[in-house]
Amino acid sequence: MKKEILIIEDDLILQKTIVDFLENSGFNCTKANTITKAKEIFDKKFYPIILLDLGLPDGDGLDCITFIKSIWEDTGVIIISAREKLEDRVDGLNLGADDYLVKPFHLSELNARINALLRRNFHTDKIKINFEDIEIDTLDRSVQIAGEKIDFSKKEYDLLLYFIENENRVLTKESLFEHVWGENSVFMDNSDFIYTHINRLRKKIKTSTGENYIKTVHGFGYKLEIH
Amino acid sequence: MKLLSKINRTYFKYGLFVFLIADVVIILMSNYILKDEMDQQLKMETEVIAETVRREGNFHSVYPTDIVEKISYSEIGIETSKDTLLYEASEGELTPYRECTVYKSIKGKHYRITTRQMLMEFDDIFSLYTALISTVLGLIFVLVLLFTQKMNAILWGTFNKNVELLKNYSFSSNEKLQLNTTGIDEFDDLNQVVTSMSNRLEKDYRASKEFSANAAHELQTPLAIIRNKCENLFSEKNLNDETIQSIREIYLSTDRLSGITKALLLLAKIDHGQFNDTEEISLHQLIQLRVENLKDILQDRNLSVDISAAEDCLVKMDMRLASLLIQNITTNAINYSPSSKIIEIKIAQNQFSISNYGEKPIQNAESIFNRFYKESESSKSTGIGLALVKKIADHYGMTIHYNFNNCKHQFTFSLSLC
Repeated sequence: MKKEILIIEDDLILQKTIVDFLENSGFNCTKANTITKAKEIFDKKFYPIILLDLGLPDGDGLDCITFIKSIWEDTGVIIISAREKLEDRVDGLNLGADDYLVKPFHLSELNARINALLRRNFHTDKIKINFEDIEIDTLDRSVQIAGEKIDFSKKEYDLLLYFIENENRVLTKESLFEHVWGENSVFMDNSDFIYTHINRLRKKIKTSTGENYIKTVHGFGYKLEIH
Repeated sequence: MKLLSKINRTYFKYGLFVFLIADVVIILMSNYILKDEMDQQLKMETEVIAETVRREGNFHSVYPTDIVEKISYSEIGIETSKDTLLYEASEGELTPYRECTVYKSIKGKHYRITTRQMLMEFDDIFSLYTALISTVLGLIFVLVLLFTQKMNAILWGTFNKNVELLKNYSFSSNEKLQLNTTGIDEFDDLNQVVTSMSNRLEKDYRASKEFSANAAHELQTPLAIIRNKCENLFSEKNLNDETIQSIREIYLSTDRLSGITKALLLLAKIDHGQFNDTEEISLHQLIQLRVENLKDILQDRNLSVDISAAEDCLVKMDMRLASLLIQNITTNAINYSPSSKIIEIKIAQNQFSISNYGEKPIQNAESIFNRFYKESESSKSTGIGLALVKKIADHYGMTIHYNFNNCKHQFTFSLSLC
């Protein structure tokens, strides 16, 4: 059973880019580019995840949140907006949104946020994540490799989870830096930093599995894949 | 200078001038009138003496005021009135007298009759009149002052109210500027000019605010598209090196562009006073938290941060701006510090400083806070982090002082104490 996602975004190209990406990741997407249209859609059907842009042609997406939540309490709302979180005095999170992504975001980041939100809201959903003989338990944030519990630091755990959730997809140094350390590479140089941490993670995995799953993609970044 | 004191001052200056002229004029005039009066008096006295001589045949002279001398016919002259000086034995000095001399022929005899009266000394007259005039003018001055103050209160009252309104007027509040009519044409003209000017400015202000918000926001969606398209391209197979390099550069430039527009929008928003939720913040805590978050990055570059706090530095700021400030100065220190060195943060009451090692002082220290200023061509900085820092510092009246000694760049922030 595929997870349903409703995307409320007025820019059609961005909408399509997000939809293509999410369909690839195994979600079913429904699109709306105005508040009016979106209301018609989620009035009839429950969506576990709604992606919501704020600057819409027929109003501010912020006004939607309470409305969505009043109909479907369990719907997870992720705001995708150019507005910085800190700019909004009453930001979406206070109005009941579950997460907030500032444009331009990395698609891999969006993917990670959606999964995290699904795990938070629907506890049965993917509590344990498997990749080959690696198993991540997201509840107690532990990692088992081939049935044996391996100690991972918080950051290593975050890195590994991010890689596994975005399997076969290239992750840039910039997106890793932002996702795990919350720093923007535009303002802070990350050149060797990410490399060091990836290497540490590789070593840990290799020691336990004998495999090197994290490949360097020349010029772009890294990706996790099976040979 | 206040208008009223200006008026009073001018009034005083001219008053003094008028007073001096008046003094001189009055003294001269009264001198003339007095002498004229005296001459008549003396003349009358000679008549009285002549009458006495006619009645009694002789007159007992009184020196020096009433003197009758018999003279021969040939000595008869013309009547005179003049000032003269006589030696006064009792005073031991020459004293001014007015004297009147007439010649009379009574019963065939000829007489010269001289009457004199002591003159008041000029100095005495002067001081008397000066005192008199001063008193009168002083009285007038005080009365006029009271009067103008009363007038001022009436005339300027509304004007002053309007000035207060203008002082408290700001674009960020949504209230329109409403000035009171004063009923005085000049003031009302001024009101009209000021009102229309403020309306124009407000319009410009709103337009620029809108522009910066729109520019920053509307850019982010296309940037998101570029970035995501690039990400999708990363997964393409069989790209040649040149294409890879190009895509990577497009991707990085997108990041930069996004970072710059966001920072510019922030700068504009701080200017527009959109961050005004003040709370008391412990900078010590904020800095510790920041350093904790940077732990991995510091470790990686083999940097250590040494925080010494003699006292906590408590600031009243918007939390978001305080975080931004600390974030940017720490990022800056880490970016420019050579590896395996110490970054020192010193916190004291109303002051904090951060320093990192460097080889040579910044060449144009006054320019480093300018937007898009880069110290060197090769530096990867966006040139906006420190501009943000400066903007936030200015917003809260902090001063930033840069110095370089013992191979350390040091930025010291001092809080304004008001």
